[in-house]
Amino acid sequence: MTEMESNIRLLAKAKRITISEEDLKLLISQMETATKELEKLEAIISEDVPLFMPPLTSKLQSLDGS
Amino acid sequence: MNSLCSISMKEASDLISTHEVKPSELVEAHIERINTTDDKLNSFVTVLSESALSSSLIAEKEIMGGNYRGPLHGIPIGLKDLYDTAGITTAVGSKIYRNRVPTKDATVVSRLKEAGAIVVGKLQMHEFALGATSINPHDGPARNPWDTDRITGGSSGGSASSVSAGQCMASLGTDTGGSIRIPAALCGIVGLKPTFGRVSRNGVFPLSWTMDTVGPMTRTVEDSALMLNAMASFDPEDPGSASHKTEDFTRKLGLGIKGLTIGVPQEYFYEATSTEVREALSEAKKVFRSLGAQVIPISIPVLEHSLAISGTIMLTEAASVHESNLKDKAFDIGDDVRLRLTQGALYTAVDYLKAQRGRHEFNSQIKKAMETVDILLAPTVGIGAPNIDDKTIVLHGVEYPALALMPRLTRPHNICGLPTISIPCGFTSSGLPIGMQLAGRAFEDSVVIQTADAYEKVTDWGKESPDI
Repeated sequence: MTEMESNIRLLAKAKRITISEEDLKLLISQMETATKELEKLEAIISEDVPLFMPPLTSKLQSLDGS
Repeated sequence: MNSLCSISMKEASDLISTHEVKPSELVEAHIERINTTDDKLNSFVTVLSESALSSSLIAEKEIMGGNYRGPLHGIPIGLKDLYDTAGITTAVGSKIYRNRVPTKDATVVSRLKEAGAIVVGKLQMHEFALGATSINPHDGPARNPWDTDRITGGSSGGSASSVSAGQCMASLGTDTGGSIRIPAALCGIVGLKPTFGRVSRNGVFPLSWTMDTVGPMTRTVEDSALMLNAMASFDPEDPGSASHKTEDFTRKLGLGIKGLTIGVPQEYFYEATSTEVREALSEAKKVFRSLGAQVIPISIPVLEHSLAISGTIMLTEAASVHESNLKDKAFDIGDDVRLRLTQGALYTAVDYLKAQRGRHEFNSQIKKAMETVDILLAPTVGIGAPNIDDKTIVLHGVEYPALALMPRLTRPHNICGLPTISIPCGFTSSGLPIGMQLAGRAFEDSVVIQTADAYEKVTDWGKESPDI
């Protein structure tokens, strides 16, 4: 069993989610891809990016300077 | 087809306002059109013939009595089946909510009714709006009017097919990752995703609340502007509603685009895009230049992270919305949607926050880009509508899951919430519509409408109708 499969099984059990064996195979592949994408994303997040997200609408309104 | 089903909403409202056509004639023509075509298209999950005809007679009396409410008065529209409608089933494309009957209308539905619009039915969609095909395991697939063996795109599939086929004059969709723009492009109509916060989502079933956006789907740009006029407002009942001033979104129609700058992102949008779609966009650039706009390349490197940011946020928020469904009724959910919701439930809180922090960087780069251009131009979908049975598509020697190609190009605009419109810009060699999207600065929806209108006025792509 791969680490990803093990993690998914544990998480699903903890969250009380039933996953079929067919879904599990697809989820392993998708979560592996997603994890790699998030690792790449992490590399571009600079240290000065706030750790707390302000409310989205005020952020959007600041896009046009209002 | 009755000619009343092929004209634009604006043309119909002009005929109504001058008493040349009665609302009842218009509604009857569209109900008849639904009755004769929907066995082929499957656009509607509920047809409201009686109430629509009854409302049309009331509208008629009001208009004849000198109480004309404006350009939506007497106009038949359809609603994606996630808009709450008092006393009418709103199932969100699911088996789980098959018996869900709201007690009041969504804010935007109330506003459209106040403007005189007549609801002719509720429209087919991808289950929970979590998918871009509108292949629905409970209601069957929505079918593309240009080729009924092909998908409409989604998740607002019925909203697009119904307008494209003349079953209603305008519809409402929702757009979280492209669900208005994708089906609009694949069905050859106009789809407008307004700035996040412009239109109330109160009474609209959520998918991903930091990106969900309500918008109109129509046959012309002008019709979308007229719909938005009636829809846009601040609503304290929607925590994402923006207290921005309301305006007349038709005011820049016909002004042209001389002096505007259109940026063409050099990253992301053309890798998984067919040669035909690339060529259509090249031709569109020529048209914009001929209209006096400056068309320039622009670099936005963060675009390559679009799927990581939007995918993580959308699936995690959707899993939160459907947490109890996933725990207790998982196998009442279609296979593809269940899989996506489960993926969302498996992301950690750290993953979600990482995506939100990435969103901050994304928005910073987009903001910087929008300081140098008025509009961003890109294809809406990289290919024409796939067959309902297509599993993979090969593009430039690379095999892609067919369904993954659908939302690839639309998701960036949901991350930053910019107003974006998809309009027809060509056809594939198979005769399938191609769409392009134009995005503007936040709350400059009228500039997006102005640009789309200028292009539409000098091209014929949107004037074609499917033979159904």
